[in-house]
Amino acid sequence: MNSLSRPRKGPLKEGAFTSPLHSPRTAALLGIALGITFTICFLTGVLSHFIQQPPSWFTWPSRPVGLYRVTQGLHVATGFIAIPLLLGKLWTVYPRLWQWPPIESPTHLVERISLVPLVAGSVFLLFTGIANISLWYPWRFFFPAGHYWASWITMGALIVHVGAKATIVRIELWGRDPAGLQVALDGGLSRRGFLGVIAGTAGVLTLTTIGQTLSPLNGLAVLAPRRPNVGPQGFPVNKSAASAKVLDSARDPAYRLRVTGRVERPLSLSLDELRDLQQHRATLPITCVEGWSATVDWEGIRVRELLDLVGVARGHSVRVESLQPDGLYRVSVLNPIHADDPDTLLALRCNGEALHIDHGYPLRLIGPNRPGVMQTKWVSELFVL
Amino acid sequence: MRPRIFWICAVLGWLVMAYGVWGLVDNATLTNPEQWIRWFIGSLVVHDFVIAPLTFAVGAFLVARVPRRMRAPFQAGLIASAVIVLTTWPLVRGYGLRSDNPSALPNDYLGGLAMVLIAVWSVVAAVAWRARKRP
Repeated sequence: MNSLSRPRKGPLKEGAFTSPLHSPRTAALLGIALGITFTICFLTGVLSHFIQQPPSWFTWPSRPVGLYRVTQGLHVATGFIAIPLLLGKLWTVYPRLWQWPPIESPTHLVERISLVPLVAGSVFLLFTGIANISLWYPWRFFFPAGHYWASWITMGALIVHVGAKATIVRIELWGRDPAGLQVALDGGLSRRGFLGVIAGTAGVLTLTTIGQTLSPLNGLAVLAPRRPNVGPQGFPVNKSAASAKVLDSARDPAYRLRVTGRVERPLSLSLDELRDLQQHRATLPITCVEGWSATVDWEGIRVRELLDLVGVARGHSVRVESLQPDGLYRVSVLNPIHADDPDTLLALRCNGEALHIDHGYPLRLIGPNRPGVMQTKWVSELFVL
Repeated sequence: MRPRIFWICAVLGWLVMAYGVWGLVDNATLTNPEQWIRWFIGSLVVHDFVIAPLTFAVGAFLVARVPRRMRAPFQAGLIASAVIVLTTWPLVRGYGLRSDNPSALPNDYLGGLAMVLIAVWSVVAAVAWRARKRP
């Protein structure tokens, strides 16, 4: 016997895995479904990243009003669906981890090495994504950055994997398949049964969480991290005034909004002066990057009209600053399209009441088609760029 | 011989991966690569050497104790339950609860999970009941 003969122990034993479900066809079908879900997650995720940190060639529009709500809701909902798909797929191909000999050829080595970032990245992305929407941060890195760069590594590994498996997938899917409904010898699930369970589990996870953004299904959302109708003034809060350390500064009677930067005449307005300006209403969603959203009636001052007051022509970007002393989200930028949109408001009121302090009292930014982290709360300054 | 698509995808895929690694290192103050790599590789290790072996062991142990014709629905119930419990575990344990923000994680997740599992196993029971009558 040579040194590559199979050690006959544990998972390396010949016939250690008996289920007929460990088949290339099961793997191919789950692989295609996973490829689709990961691609959706990747594209919507990269889009969300570009909206928040736009490259020079990228401009995010302010219309349709609810577009980001759809893309980000899809990102999170598709991530949920990917969980049973990924676990089912990894279970299906698990015997291959223990294949003997481990490496058959140089190209096989390339293929197998790429599986390390593929498996690690897939599990990492779904784990960190779920933990993030559950507001659980057991690691010491900034979630959006760690998740974002992991997604590039994982998608790269997925591209290698698709190239390595293209031929076998084509053979499996176009070939005849008499075994789909065949009951396993031990009485266990058939392949269709197995795939059906995975689809059904994805369905249960979707039905019990999607209501966090699709409000007609709110009643079923027993496993959703948020409910669109739960929170002060009837909708959720992501960052509270206490955690933003603005409890005192936001209630300071000396509060003033400053409008500065490249303006003809800087402006400083008290809360009463802000209330005396013309008020406008807009019904806009607040959409969290974490996948929940809620439709809210807002009332406040048009950013565009404030810019008119300080003599700024159309077509300028505006930096919106918060009273928050620190944090990566204390500032957001309105690109010219958003700054000039008539529905982009500095809101004083929501759902018919003065803003709750956790929703940004005294003044918050709210604009169409923006991620919640860019709807700056406790606004202290508009800086025209 | 590998078809051409293997090499096209291999080169493209490794370029994309290289971009990801570059971004990770270039943004080191945010990504904390030393910490990140632990969670990245840890994801693989925990899945391949803890979760998967446990799944095989527990599955084999339990399924062997169920009458043959009940096995398929029983397996289905186990798979669905395990995935749902795993996914909702951080919510059920309330790791993310914060005293300053009651609108975060507002549900009774243990109760919700129990309801969902009861629904899953009701379907399992109904299917098993029908299977019982089959020859």
